[in-house]
Order: sequence, then structure tokens, then C-alpha cells
Amino acid sequence: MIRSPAFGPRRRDPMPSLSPRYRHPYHRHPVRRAEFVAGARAVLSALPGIAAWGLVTGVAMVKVGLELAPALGMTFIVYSGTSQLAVLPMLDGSAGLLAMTAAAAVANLRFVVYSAVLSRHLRRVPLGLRLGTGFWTIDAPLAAFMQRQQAGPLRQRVAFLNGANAIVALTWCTSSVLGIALAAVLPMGPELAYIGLLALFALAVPLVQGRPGWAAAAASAGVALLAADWPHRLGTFAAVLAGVAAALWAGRRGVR
Amino acid sequence: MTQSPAELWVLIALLTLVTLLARNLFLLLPPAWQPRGRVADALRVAPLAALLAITVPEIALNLRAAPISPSMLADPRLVAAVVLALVLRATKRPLLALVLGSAAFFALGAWAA
Repeated sequence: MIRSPAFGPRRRDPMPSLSPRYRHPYHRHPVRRAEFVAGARAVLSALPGIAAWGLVTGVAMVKVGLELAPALGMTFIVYSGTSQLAVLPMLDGSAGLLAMTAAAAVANLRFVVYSAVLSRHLRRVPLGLRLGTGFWTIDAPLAAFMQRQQAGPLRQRVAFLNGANAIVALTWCTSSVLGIALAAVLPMGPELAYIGLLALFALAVPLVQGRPGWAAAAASAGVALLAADWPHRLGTFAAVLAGVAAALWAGRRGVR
Repeated sequence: MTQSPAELWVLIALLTLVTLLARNLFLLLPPAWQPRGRVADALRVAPLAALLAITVPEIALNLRAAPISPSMLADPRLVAAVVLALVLRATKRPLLALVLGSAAFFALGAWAA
């Protein structure tokens, strides 16, 4: 699927298109594999936080009474801590399926902004790979990708992003399963959740650069504090919009 | 929990659809609908804005409701985040920053308790 002519401008590829090396399958291509590994390395520092959140989410699913199979389904199929944590408190019978779906949709609005960020980079990627990549691109891989995005031809950048996505997905799913399995014995205080949160905060700190970055940080933090009590994580979405608006106002060029 | 297994699997399917649609919405829209120019540039701060939007209210959790007072400066959550940010900006080593931030969190938590 990678050899589709629609996938990236060929003239920028470092390998001549007729070279036998060019015909390697996706994961065997040496440059792409190097980028895949580089992507995985770029999110290493985020993994402790993701593992902590995975554990917390796994335990939370068991505590509200989910059986093993649906809990694993949530982890591996839904693949969205945001959706899972939005829905879990509503499983007590106070809400119908559609209300829960609507709550998850609202909580997921920040990913719509992420898809707008990604679309300019994935425009030429074949549909299947594009949707797959979009589906599992979450906060940490996207942040790593934004810091790195200028480097290399498109297919290598996609390999970088998916390397980050792969190790994050592996960490998230493993830690969630651990949380599900060990829910009865884990001393799950708010402390662990807070360490996970600190790790997310550590992802944000290096991104605060330049006028647009500082403006976005100030606006987002301010709005997030003011809107912290809004229902369905609408405050998060409002803060993201405020951050983007502030960056738009502060500079003609985005944060690098 | 009052849902039947069948209902739960329908919910899982619906939530998957939500995840898929939310994360792919702009990837499916035609080129004319895509953000361009200054808006596309400004969107690059979106991950930063989202990460702060998620973390800042939790960092300031104990301070949001309380009236402003000097004792806030010893709040474990706030001190941990400040230590982490300072160490990270100074050393550019995320793991070290996380360890020292967590250490500050537990030290102050233990001291306060």
C-alpha cells in the first residue's frame, strides 16, 4: 500500500524509484524503519505517564463493575482513555447509550482539532493508512511529531509518527490490562494518577517556545482554570480553542 | 452497573465510532475545507494547548476553590509541577524532571500530612 503513487512526492524520496531497496515492505525499508524507531524513542519520556493513566483507567473500569471481556474491548477497540473515563461514571444506569455516546463525543472534541493538525501532513497518504494513523494518533505522539515534522519526506514522517503511536499504544494497552488484572490488589490512590498527570505536563513544557507558544500556553491555562467545572470536559476544548486563537493572534508563524 | 452484555458491546461499538470520527474528521473532509495559512500555522500549538488544558486544572486543584493565601505556595501539586518545569527547562532531561517533581510531591505530601 505504501507504493501507491499518491503517497508523497516521489522526487523528494532519497531512493531512486527503481532501486530494488525501494520495494521493501513498509517495515523493512531501512530509512523508514530508522524513522519508526526514532519516533518510538521520541515519546519514551511520555511512557511513564501513559502507563500511569492506563493503570488508573484499567482499575476504574473494574471498579464500576465491567466484566473482563468488555473491559478488554474498551481498552483495545475503543482505544480512548478520554471516552472511557467520560462514560464510566454514567454506567450506573443514570444515562442511556446515546447520552453516553454524546458525552464521549463532546469529551473527544480536542481530537477533532488534532485531526485538523494532521490532515495537512497525511493528505497524500492512502485512505486506509491515513484513517489508521488518524485513529491511533493521540496527544504524546502528535506532540513529538509537531516538534519533528519538518524532517524528511512524507513517508518517513508518517513512519516516525507511527513509531511513536506504536509504542504508546503498546504501553497504554499493557498498563490498562495490568490495571484490569490487578484492580483488586493495587493500592490506587490519587497519587499515581497525579504522577501520570505530571508526566503529561512534562510533555507540554518543552513545547512552550516563541511568542505563539507562550501566548497559547497562557490562554489555554487561563481558560482551563476558569472552565474547569464545565461538564463533559468542554472546558478542555474551550482551552484548546483559546490556545489556538492566542497563537493566531500572537504571530504569523506557529510555534516551532 | 445496569447494562446487559449486549448493551455494553453496542456502547463499545458506538464509542469506537466516536473515536474514529473525532480523530479522522479533517482527514476525511475535502481539501477545500482544510485549514490554511495562518490558521494552519496556529493549529500547531494545539497539542500544547490540549496538554495544558488537561493538566493545569489538576495541578491547581487545591487552589481553585480556596482563597488566596501564602500557604498555597507549599501545595504539593503546585510545587511538584514548578520543580518539574524548572528542572526540565534547565536540563532538558524529562525523566530526571519527572523523578524530582514526583519526589517533591511525595516529600511535601508527607510533610503536610
